[in-house]
Amino acid sequence: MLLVCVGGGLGAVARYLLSGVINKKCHPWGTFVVNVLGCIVFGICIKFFLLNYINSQFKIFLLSGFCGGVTTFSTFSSETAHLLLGNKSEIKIGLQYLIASILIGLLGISIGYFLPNVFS
Amino acid sequence: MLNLIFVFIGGAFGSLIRYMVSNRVILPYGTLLVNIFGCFILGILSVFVLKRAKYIPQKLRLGLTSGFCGGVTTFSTFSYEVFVYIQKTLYIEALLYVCVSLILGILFVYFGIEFCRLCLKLHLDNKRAKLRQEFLEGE
Repeated sequence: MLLVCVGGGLGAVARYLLSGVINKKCHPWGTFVVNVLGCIVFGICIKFFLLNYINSQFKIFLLSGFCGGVTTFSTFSSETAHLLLGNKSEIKIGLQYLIASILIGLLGISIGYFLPNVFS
Repeated sequence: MLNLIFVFIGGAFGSLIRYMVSNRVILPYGTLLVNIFGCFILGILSVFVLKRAKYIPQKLRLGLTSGFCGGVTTFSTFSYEVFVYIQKTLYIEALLYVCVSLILGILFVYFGIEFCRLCLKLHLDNKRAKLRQEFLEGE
């Protein structure tokens, strides 16, 4: 449980710093970047766990803690809601953001999942 | 620096709640549940961003939004669950899970906003009524 707390806290701080910097330049893609990065790390970790490279405690720290903390669904939803339901000119960006997040997120997981295969 | 500490504490709490909830509920509904819950809370908090900032101090709000809501919801586990569905060739379930998560997420942000507005309105009406009462009694 402590592992989840520390991992989640670190993840949240990392997300806050990274998405803050990117969101200043191009809103809302900061959240997109942290979500995709989190997905890639998640894919790698789960593969390592399935291959028995890391034990289950480290897995809880990394997956439930850090990856869960660094990625966020709430900010993603609220940004999508504001883009889709707000200004009409922003609907296009909202849809792009929505579809890109889902597809690239899945791609991130697959990349992370299959990346260790390349090296072994 | 203080901002980071607030985000850290919020994220730690959020992650702990997510971990405990998603361990107890059958997959993948745990993730869905925490994501929707986080969206609702974020909707409530987002009302306080501009006009009503005085109700919640800025640092506490940051800890709650970026920290707690961000920590309690997760995009990586959500994507992984979709990935697992696809791997098992359960394409319809994957699509359904994505759609339900997205629609409920957006809907609950909206519910949160409306809920908070309603509460604030009731609160202000109450205050106004009290003031009016005091004013009339004073006369």
